[in-house]
Parts: sequence; structure tokens; C-alpha cells
Amino acid sequence: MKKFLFYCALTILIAFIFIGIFADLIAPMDPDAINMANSLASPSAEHLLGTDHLGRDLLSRLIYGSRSSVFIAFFATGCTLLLGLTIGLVSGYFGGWEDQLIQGVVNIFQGIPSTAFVVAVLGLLGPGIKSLLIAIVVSSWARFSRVVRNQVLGIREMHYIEGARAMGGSNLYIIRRHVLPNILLPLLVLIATRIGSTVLTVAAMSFLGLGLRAPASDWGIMINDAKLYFVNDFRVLLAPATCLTLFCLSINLIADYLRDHLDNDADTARIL
Amino acid sequence: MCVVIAILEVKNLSKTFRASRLGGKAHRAVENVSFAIPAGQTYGLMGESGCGKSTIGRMIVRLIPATKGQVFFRGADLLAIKQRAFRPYRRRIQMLFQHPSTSLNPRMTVLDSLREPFLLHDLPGRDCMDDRIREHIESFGLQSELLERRTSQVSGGQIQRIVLARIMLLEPEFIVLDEPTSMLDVSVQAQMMFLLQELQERSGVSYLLISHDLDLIRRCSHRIGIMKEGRLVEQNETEALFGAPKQAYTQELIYNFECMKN
Amino acid sequence: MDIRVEDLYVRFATLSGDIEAVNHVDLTFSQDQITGLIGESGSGKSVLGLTIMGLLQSNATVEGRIFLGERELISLSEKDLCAIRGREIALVAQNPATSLNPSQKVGRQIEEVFRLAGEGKVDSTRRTHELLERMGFSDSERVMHSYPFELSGGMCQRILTAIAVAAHPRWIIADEPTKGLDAVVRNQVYDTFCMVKEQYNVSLIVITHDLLLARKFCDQIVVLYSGRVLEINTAQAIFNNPRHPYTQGLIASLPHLGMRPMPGFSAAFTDQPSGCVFHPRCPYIDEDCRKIEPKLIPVEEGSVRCHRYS
Repeated sequence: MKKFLFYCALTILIAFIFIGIFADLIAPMDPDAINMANSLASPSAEHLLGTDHLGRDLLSRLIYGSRSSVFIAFFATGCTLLLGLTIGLVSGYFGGWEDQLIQGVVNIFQGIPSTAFVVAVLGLLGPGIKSLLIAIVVSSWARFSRVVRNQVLGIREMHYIEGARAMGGSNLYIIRRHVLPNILLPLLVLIATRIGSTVLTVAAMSFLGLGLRAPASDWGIMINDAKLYFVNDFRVLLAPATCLTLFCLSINLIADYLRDHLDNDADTARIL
Repeated sequence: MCVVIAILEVKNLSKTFRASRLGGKAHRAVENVSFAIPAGQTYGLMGESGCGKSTIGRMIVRLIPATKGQVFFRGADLLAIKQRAFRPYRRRIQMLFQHPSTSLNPRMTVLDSLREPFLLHDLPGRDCMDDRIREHIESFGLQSELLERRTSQVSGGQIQRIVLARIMLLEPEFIVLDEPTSMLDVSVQAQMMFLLQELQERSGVSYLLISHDLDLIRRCSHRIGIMKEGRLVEQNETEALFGAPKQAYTQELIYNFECMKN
Repeated sequence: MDIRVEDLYVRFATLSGDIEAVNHVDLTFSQDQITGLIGESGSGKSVLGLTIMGLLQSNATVEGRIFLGERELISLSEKDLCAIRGREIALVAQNPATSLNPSQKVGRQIEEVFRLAGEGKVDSTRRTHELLERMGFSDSERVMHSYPFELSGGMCQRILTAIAVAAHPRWIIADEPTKGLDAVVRNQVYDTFCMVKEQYNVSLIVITHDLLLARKFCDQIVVLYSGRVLEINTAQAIFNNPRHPYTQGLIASLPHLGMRPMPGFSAAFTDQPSGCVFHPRCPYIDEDCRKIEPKLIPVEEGSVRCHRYS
């Protein structure tokens, strides 16, 4: 059952990524083509999911929306990972005063509620895709680096690290060959959950008008647009909300499965 | 008495661990320890857990810096050598660790682990290292189907053999054995120690055997040092030490072991 | 009340195939004797102990029967087992360093046993004091207010034993009580067990690979190898006159008795040899040993699973 859910989730995620990449080819219509005469139309052969309040094709907007959402989520998580990983590795592996200093900074960053932090950074830099990315990275690297550091601290004590050093392995060699492979898998779980929450943050910021700006098609903007009309036609809210939920759900299911699976592997090894 | 050449000589070695936080006490793990190990012999370092014997081993291999003192290896002071110039010694001095469960990277196969010496040093037969490894591990009682396994699927006794085989690829002159068998069963311990003695006879490698098992130390060492709370309280040739222990602590240790046997 | 194990078979389903950890074991643990289960890691000795406690993970299949007096334990529900665990059979787990909660004072961890038995706060504290004093702690007040890391390994082991005897069980199963401990602490553990045996009138099963402890402390010794019983005998007889070639090899492996290594390795769980499980390493191998698995044969006061005695 878990395995089945995992594969379903994986399929959905891959579908979203695929749709995002090939949005231009898949989308049946121009997502920004306004046709006021045909606003809030019900689903038809021409508009499979109907149209929104400006008469734009809902399906096409969803497809282009997944492009921006997925792109931002992966890119932002990637940047966060890179920053957090580097800082966490340095801090955990070398220790000493560098570690103390970094942990001090991390503590400060972790003390600030992340949503408030993102809003504050966006307020400072002004809305837009670039500032959104910066805001997300700045507000979430600290947690990443903390997790990486803790993992590295555990691994640093292992005999195989000492053994590699005794054989003459340089720090770079040891990090690359022994430290990284052993922290990457636990990190995978964190990355997966991070992507999910980033999508939500992007949507939330766009909803607040701090992220992407209309007329760009983004799930958050679509929900924002729908807030005036969903009383009459629930469809306009339901469509982007479903996509958002589905995406986050699939990411979380994948993370869940990975975590269970990794733990299981470790357990079996311990029994033997 | 004939004069034997010491391969390793430790002089006034000390280690003080700084307090981990403000107001904490600095911990003197090792204080003014001196001993010499003749080439081709085993020096047994015996003591209770926490007496600083492993710290000495780690300082000799330069895994942790010493606070004070010197370690002469074939006349050269190891602790005074610069990081870069120390690299050749990384081949000549090796260390075998206590816990088999963390001695090999769990994400690697046994073969990958055995390839490491070739990646780090310019060893002969580097081009056909897999063949050399296959040939090499046979004399350690290891079968070649082990090579494909992940290290998490290999028993503790076999891991210690694999690590030893890997160390011997480097053809070291001196090995620190840090409780190499304390996590193993008696039958596996006997096999391991037998293998180590065989290697010594064959290649003339010298050992520093660190252990809390007096019986094991007595059986396997030419000379023994007894440690207590960071200090070396007594050292002597094995049989002389057991025949006439001078210090009260040594007598107490021997008594404790005899207790268990009667 | 004796513990009787009848035709016990335990199998684990793992990714790399099924593992038969305990293979048709018949044993009687007599309440008047201390039984030592000795064997290498992977011999199934710990699994046997955990099976008696009903503490195996979910991927284990158990067949056969275990009797505590007249009651059969394997068929009991989890709820009934809980009533037996701790009160009738208690476990002293392997590693004192990780078996105690590091963030709770020792006193509270012992009091918990009395609180669970339905006693009030004042009574529990009083009884904890009594218990610690009985276990040979002269300054029970200080010990109660210590965290586990403030006590030595031997003391933690004694606390664990105290927790086990707190509910006055009939049986205690001690899993590797001396693993990785040095001589002084090992002697302390031995003294603790002797004291517990005398004061609490409990029966003990000691699971260990520490042959010296087994010889000194146990009356009867069971030698396990690859999930099978190879030899049962009194501790005296096992050491003075080991019958099974494996037992002989084990004793010869002891550092002060020659440290002569046995050839070969114990068989992997996933591919066990046919016939006698020990035959690939046995110096007395015969044609029968390769084909027919020997039965446990009674010899004088003990029994041995080897064709040479049939």
C-alpha cells in the first residue's frame, strides 16, 4: 500500500515537472488571452476547465502555473541546499571557533519565524521573482545547515573517517568520499519536504501580492484572482487549489516513504 | 642484555583536553608517558577504560595533536613534522580501530573500501588493483565473493580482517592496534590475534597493542606498560611484569583477572 | 517455576532472504539453577532470550512452545505478556549506557516501577531507597539524584539490575551483562548477580559470550551455534571436559588457555551447511557429518550434538 502510494506520488510529481517544462507545447491556449465576452464560462470542448473572470482558459493557466511553481520550488530548494550544505559541512567537519560563530548566526536566523522573515525580505527588496527566491533562501538555509551539521558531527566520530585520515586522505577527499555520501540520503527527506513547503510559500506570497505579479499565471495568483468569484463559480478556486494540494501531498508522500524505507534498511543491517 | 633498535620511541607525551565550555575543568588525559617499542615486537598498553591509552595511540598516528612531548619514529620526531611532509609516514604508520561497525564506510562495498589505499598512495600494481586486491585478501582468510558486499552485511570479525588487509596493502612498518578484538567473540579474537602474529613474523611489522584484557596482552606482547589515570605506572618485559609486579595497581589488576578465572 | 522451551523455531524475514535464528531448540531452564547461554554473535542466543520475553520485532515468525510453569507464552496476547514481563520474567538489557534514560535521574527511573505497580509517591521513594541499599549502594540518596552519566559503567549495570528485581520477578534474563567491560567492572557485575540471587531468590538465565563469567557464575551451560544447541552440561564439565569439538575450540581460544584459533568462520544464516552445522570447521569430520544432522545425545550428566558420541 505504501509502495503503491509512493509510486502514485512519484508519477504525479514527474507529471507536474513534465507539464512545467513543456507548458508551451501542452497548453491548449494562450494563458493570458483575455476574452471578456466569455468570462467564467463552464467547461466546454473549447475550454476543458472553463474560463476565469477575464475569460482566460483555466487549464492553460494551470499548466503555466505549474511551470512557475515547480521551477521556483526546485530552484529555491537547490540554492538553499547548496548554501546550507556548504555552511553545515564547514561548521560540522572543522569545528572550532568557526563552528561557534556559524552556530551563533544560525541561531539568530532560526529564531525568526520564516513567513514573517520572507514577508520582511520581500518588503525590503520589492516583489518579484528574484526577490522571492532570495527571500526563501535567506529564510531557510539555517535549518538546512543545522541538519547537515548534526549529521556531520555524528559521522566525524566514525572510525572510517579516522581510518581514511590515517591512510593520508585529505579533508577534501574525506568529505567527498565518506562524509557526503552518508549525509545525502537523510538529506533527501529534508529536501523533499522543503520543496513542498516552498511551493506553499510561493503561493502564499503570490496570494499576498508579494511574489509573482498578475498577469503571470501562478497557482497563488489564481487563488487570489478567484477570491472574488468563487461564491458564484467554485471551479475557479477549486482548480488551482487542487493542483497545489496534489503537488504538496505527493511531495510529502515521497518524503514519508523515503524516510520509512531508509530507516528499514538501517534496521535490517543492525539485526544482521 | 642485547641492545635492540627501537622503531618507535615516545618521550614525555602529554595531552590535555581543553574544557568544552567556560568554567569547565581541563582534562589531563595523558601525562608524561615515555616508552620504546623495539622493531618487530609488540608493546602492550594495558589500562581500564578512560585511562588515556587510546589517546596515546591517536597522538602517535597524529589523529589528534599532542599537547607536549615527542614521538620518534626511526629517529624522526613525528610530532615536529609539518603536515605536508608527514604524508609519507601515513603509509608507514597505520591504525586498527576498536569498533568494526564503524570501521568501514557503510555506503561502500568491500571492494571500494579496499581500493582506497591505491587511490591515496602510489602503490605498485595500481593499474590492475582489483586483481591485486583479490590476490591479497586470500592470505587474510577472506573470500573474493565478499568484495561485492556492502560493508553493513559483513560480520565484525570479517570487517576487522578487511581493515587489516587494507592496512597491509600499504606495507606499514608500525601499526597501532586500538582494542582490535574487544568487540569480537573469543573464537574470532583468537583467529585475529593469530593472524596479527603471523603477519609480524612474516613482515617484521611492530605493534602497539592497546587493550583492557590483561590475558590478551600477556599472551600477545613482548613488553607491557600499565596505565592508570593518564600515567604509565609500570612497564617491563611481559614475564618479568607478571612474575614480580612492583606497583600495587598492577597487583590489583592481576588479582582481578585471577578472580575471574577461579 | 521452570521455563521450558519446546521445539522453538524463530525465523526473520529480511530483504536478503529468510534467516533462521533459532532452529528447533528444546531446553529446560530449571529454577534451582543458573543457566548460561553461550555462543558467538549470530548464534541465536540473544534471540532466544528475546523470544522468551516476547520482544521480537514484527518480521519474526515464531513456532514451537515456551512454558512458564503451566502457562504457554507464545500463544499469549500482548496484554497478558505485559503482565508477565517485569513481574515474572525481567530483562537486564545489554548496554547499561543506552538502556537507562540519560535525561532522567536514576531515582525516578526506579520509582517508575513501583508507581506502575500502583504505589503512591511516598511509598515508591521509600522502597527505592530500600532497594538501592539492598543492592549495595551505601549512599542511596546521592545515587537517586544522579543522572546515569554521572555513574560508572558498573554502577549503571547495578541500577539496571535493581530495576529488574524491583518487581520481584521469578526469573531474570541478563543479556550480555559484561560485554565490553574491563576486569574490575566485570567482577562488580558478578558480585551484584551473586547478591541478587541470594537476596531475591530469583532464577537467572545469563546470555553471554564471556566464558569466564559463565564458568564462575552458572550451574548449567548451554552452548549455542548457528541457532542450535550443541552441548548442555554443568559449568564444571563444560570447562574441564568439553565434549563437542566446537566447545573444545571455544575454550582453547581463551587467551590464558592457549588462544589457539579454530579454522573457518561460523556459517552465514542464509546458507547453512547440510548435516552437522559445525562440520566445515570440525577437525574430526566424518562422512556422516556432511549428510546427517546429529541429534542431541545424552552423555553422562549432559548432552551433546555430535556423531562421535552416538
